[in-house]
Amino acid sequence: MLYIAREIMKSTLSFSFYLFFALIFCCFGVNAQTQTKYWVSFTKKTAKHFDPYRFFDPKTIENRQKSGLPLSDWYDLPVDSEFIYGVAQIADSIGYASRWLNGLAVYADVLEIKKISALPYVKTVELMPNKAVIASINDSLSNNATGKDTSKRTKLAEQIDGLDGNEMAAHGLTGKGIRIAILDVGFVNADKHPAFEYLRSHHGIILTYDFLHHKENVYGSGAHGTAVLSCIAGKYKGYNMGLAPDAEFLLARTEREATEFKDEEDAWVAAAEWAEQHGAQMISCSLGYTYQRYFYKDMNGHTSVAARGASMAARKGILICIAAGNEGENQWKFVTTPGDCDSVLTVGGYDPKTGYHSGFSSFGPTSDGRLKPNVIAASTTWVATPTAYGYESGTSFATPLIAGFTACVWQYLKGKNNVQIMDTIQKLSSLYPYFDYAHGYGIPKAGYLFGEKHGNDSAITIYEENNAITVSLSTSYFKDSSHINRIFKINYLYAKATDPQGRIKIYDVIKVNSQRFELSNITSYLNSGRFAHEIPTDEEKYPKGWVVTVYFDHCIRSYHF
Amino acid sequence: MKKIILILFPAIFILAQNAICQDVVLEQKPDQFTGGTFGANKDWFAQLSFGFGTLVGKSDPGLSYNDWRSNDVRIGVKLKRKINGLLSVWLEPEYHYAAYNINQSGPKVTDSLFWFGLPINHEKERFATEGILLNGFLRFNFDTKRGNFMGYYLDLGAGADIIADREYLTIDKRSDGSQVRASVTNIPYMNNLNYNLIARIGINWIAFTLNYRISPLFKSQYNIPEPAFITAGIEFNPYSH
Repeated sequence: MLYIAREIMKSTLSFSFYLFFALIFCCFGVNAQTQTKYWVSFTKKTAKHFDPYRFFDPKTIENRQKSGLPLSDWYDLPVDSEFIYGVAQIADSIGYASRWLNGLAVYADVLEIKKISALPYVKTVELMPNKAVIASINDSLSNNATGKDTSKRTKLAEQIDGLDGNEMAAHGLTGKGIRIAILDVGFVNADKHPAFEYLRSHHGIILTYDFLHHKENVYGSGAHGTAVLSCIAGKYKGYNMGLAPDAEFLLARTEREATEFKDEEDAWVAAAEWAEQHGAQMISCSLGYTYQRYFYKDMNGHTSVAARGASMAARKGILICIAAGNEGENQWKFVTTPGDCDSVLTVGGYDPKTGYHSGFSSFGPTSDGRLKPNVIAASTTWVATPTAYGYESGTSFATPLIAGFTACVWQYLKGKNNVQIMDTIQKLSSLYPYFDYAHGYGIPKAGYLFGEKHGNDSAITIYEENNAITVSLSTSYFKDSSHINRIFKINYLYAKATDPQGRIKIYDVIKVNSQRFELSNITSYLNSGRFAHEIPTDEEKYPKGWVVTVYFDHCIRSYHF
Repeated sequence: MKKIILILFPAIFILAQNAICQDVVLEQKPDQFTGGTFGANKDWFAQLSFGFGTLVGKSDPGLSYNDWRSNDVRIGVKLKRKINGLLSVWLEPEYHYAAYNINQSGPKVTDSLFWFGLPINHEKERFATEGILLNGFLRFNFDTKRGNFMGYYLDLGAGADIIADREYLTIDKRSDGSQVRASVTNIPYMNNLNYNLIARIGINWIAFTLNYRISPLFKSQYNIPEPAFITAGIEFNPYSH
């Protein structure tokens, strides 16, 4: 070893070059070694008195009363300051504490965390993830997209019309009176961008906070939040970019952009608590956590700190819209956390050009088999960039579109709580009650809120013929020219096979080209060798208890085996 | 009749296809993706690897090697078997090219060896080897409870460089400006097999490497000065999440 050291020391130029890189590396290495981030949970809370009227915004009191929730409970009590002090004495540094989770984020090395674990009031210690994934395809938002103004307005129309957004505006629903918190990487120039002139004119931004730098200004960096905000409340040449321009906003910066090496999951929870304290009824978040600390098996809605925080927020009456993520074409493939949470509205994306799932949009189900995403919206959108406007893709932008839609629904159904509104949003969706793990219940439609009839009851029949599951469309589709036009507009048939436990094992989206066709892929899947042991006789070709369900133009048919 | 057949046949064929076929634009079988033992932090993994290095240290007297311009290039695959969160075993077969450039200003015992005793200075002069480098190493991950992510790691291992081709190359310039390249391949005075110790420290897809050659490059009976024993470099190991 001495020889190696001596040799290295004698080298001059090349050594200096590598030393430079080594120093950079060491910076990361030191972080990894001495500043690993942990979540420390405490055994109890010692605070006895809590005055909700002093602590909460009047809007929070109003929200809780409307939702039938107690004005305060154990989860609202502060984390014991002596516990925080005790941990801070040992750890390198501390992050955010959470009232809801009764815990604290700390940076500590192995020895320090052992000491912390041994403290009598410490319940558990968990490692935390490195980095959030921003659910947009292009993290650096492009400015000044070229193209004719009409094509920009077409894109704008697609993102609004997909949700029947004009119906909302026609009924005077603009999110008025609904307070939405947006948790993101920053909102650069949102304080002066022309897209938000209207929002600023009615003082729509109520409060801001940067949870990374502990300051109010969130407009210094991070373009992603600016784009997200524009998809709820932005305007382009007088046209709405989202559905809730009259909503009120709380803007929280909880993450840095791509260069971030530390996790900010504790900041996410802290921001959710802050949002609830200041009267938010909804949270829109286009960030998620994936492979850096978790496996797919952890996507069960109660493992990650963010998922637990999101669950608590839902229990406090907040409706959370979360991006499903853009992992559909990556190895991860599935929804990110906290989108795995049971009580949040997880939003996937569809391609406005095709009308079905965008390849990048993360798939469900959760690792414990629950349906995700819940709904979808357009994932290629016209958004505000730091200094202008541009096209962007990702479930990041589908999410605020749904958040705006939800705000309008809540404005319309004032007496409902967050769970009822979430249920309503799903029921308003284009495929409901059909669902699959790419589209959830489909695209929410404002028209359905105002009584538009759901489709054609006799559009399809399903039967077995020549050893194949066969679907036949109503002849009227081919006799009536208006239907022929319609079929070219709505020409996708959705099909799935579910096992006796109700889990979807295979699902398809099929382009309809003819009046009758076989579901050959699903048939061969059901006939495949894997079910051989379940088939008692030659007559029974299919496994018992399975169901094939198809959806076309609001008509759902099932075939039971 | 022929015309009718020519027209009808494709039409019937298309209609028949429509009747029995489906145009599946999306299909998913969720179970195919939910498990699996292959991944960056799963039981098995494989990834491509690209490495570059230069000599670091002091060469033997008698020949002045240009460390900065003596580079190696490695392209291969890394194959992993995970033992636990902390430890994994890797095998790494790589194509390996290494060049040892010689300064023309210093002493040159090679001239006396290869150019009939005449001390000649060239434009460029180098030894080069090409072959398969087979490394085996242990990887220690610092962040043991990470997800499906490579994380921070330290690799310690050893490898054998099986040399398939050994070359001595000189490049000279004529007075008219044209170049003369003289290449002697399969030179007998270089060893066929070299052994290395490896240390590597990395973050996710990038790593800094140190290779320590523990066997001589040249056969001892030829008395050719050895280049530095250490190669320091950088390595890229891309993978998708």
